Parts: sequence; C-alpha cells; structure tokens
Amino acid sequence: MTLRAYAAIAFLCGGLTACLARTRAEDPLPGPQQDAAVVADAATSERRVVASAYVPVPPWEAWDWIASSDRLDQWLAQEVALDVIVGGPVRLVSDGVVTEGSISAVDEPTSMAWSLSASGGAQRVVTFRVSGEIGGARIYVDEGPFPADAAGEATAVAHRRRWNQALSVLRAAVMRGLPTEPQESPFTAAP
Amino acid sequence: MNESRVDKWKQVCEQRPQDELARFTLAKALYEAERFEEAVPEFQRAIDAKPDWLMAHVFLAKSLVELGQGAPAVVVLKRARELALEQDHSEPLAEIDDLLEELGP
Repeated sequence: MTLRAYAAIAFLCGGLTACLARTRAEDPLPGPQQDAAVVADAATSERRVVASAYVPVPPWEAWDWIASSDRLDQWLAQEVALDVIVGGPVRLVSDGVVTEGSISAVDEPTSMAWSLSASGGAQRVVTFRVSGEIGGARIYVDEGPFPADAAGEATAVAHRRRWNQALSVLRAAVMRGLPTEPQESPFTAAP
Repeated sequence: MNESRVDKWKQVCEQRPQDELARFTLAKALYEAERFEEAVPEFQRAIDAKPDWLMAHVFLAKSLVELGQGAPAVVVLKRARELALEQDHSEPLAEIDDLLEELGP
C-alpha cells in the first residue's frame, strides 16, 4: 500500500472519529429517542408496526411503565386494567373503545406479549420488550399482524402514528417523574 | 398518585359493580396505597367472582400479612399454592413458598 493510500485511510478514519465525537457530544443517546415504522413480513406480506422509545430511567422502572396499570393509564389508554401473569386479563378503554385480551407471555422484567382484539376487530399481538441502554432503557413495541391488503396497510399506518403519539406521551410522563431539584449534589460535603 | 388511582377505580367499580378486573385493579391500588384493611374485602370480592384467580389470592394473603393476620394468610397462601400448581405458574409459586416459609408452619 502506498503512502498516499495510508494517508487517505488516516484522513477518512480521522473524519469518521470527529463525526462520531460530534454526534455523541450533541446527543449522548445511543439511538433515536423515538421511532415507529410499518414493516412487511417477507413471507406473508402481512404488516407489523414496530416502534421504540428511549426513556431515561433504569430498565426495571421502564418495565413498570409497561406492566403497571397506574403507569399504563398515563400514556397508553384512559383505563388500563391487567393481571401480569400468563393467561391474565388485559383491558384497555380509550374514548369508549374497549380492547380486551389476555397476556400470552411474560418474562419479567424484560418482555411481555398481549393477545388483543378490538371490539369487532381482528386479533393482534402486541409485544413489549425492555432493553437497557446507556443512562436508561429502550422500550420496544411490536404490533401485528395487519392484513396484506390496502385496508391492512392503512390500519397499520394509523397504528404507527398512534404508537408514535403514545410513546411521546410515555416519554413526557417519564420525564415528569424525574427529579427537578438537586438530589445528591457533587458540592455537598463528603461523608 | 396512589390516592387518585384508588378514587378512579372506586368510580369504575361503582359504574360496573360486576366488573371483576376493575375490582382487582381497585384492590391492587388500595394495596399499593398501603390501605390494606380496605384492600382485603376487595380482593375477597374478586376471588368470589373468580375463585381460581391466583394473583388475587396472593395479594389477599400479602394484605393479611401486612395486617398481622398470619393464620388466615397461611390458609389463603395454601390455596394460592394449589392454584399455582394447577395453572403451572412457577414465579408466583416461588413467592408463595417464600411467604409460607416466613409465616412458619
């Protein structure tokens, strides 16, 4: 390899390092704070909504936000009642729309799946997963399947938008719970 | 937060007295608000509506323990243990066994 090639590699690596350093300095979070998308299953073309949100609390507290009815009714629906055990009931009420189902899987404090059916609607599974990240946790949501037709696509798109809104409210609710006064200050006397 | 939650679920139970899931949620809200004396009859009502409700048994027993009523708590926990085995729920089973061990023979 020529000296010029080494110089080019060094230049590119330096630029990449500087770019990463700048990105981290501006936004210390390891990924996007929140995102949602509609994805198509390669085999069946059925749609799923996948979404995630970063929350600046430890994973065990993030779990509470998806497993406790008093936390869930702050961001997911006006009334959420559930018994977090496999086979336990789940019911969500929002604007008079009742969605009922059962808990199909629980791996506390990491993941949980709900099998749901809206009144008159099709069966769907919502899976929540909590993953630890630097300084907090990420809550992943996966909802589906939606039929592989125009109506299914439209429903999935609407649900993507609603998950985005719900996760925004979740992040705001989590932030409200964070301390807004100095706690353990580095300027207090050492013990 | 817990008090407003209790009020909310009391209202729901007044509107839908036969709603056992609402009753269970009210009972849990009372338990979390450390209002154990009020939680006990609500968990009991949830169990009356659905006698094989495992977690209602577990929380009823825990409420009784908080109230210092060890003997009735053991009776409830033994029934909860049977339900956990019947329903193949290993995690509550471990918690039930721990509680039974704490309460002694």
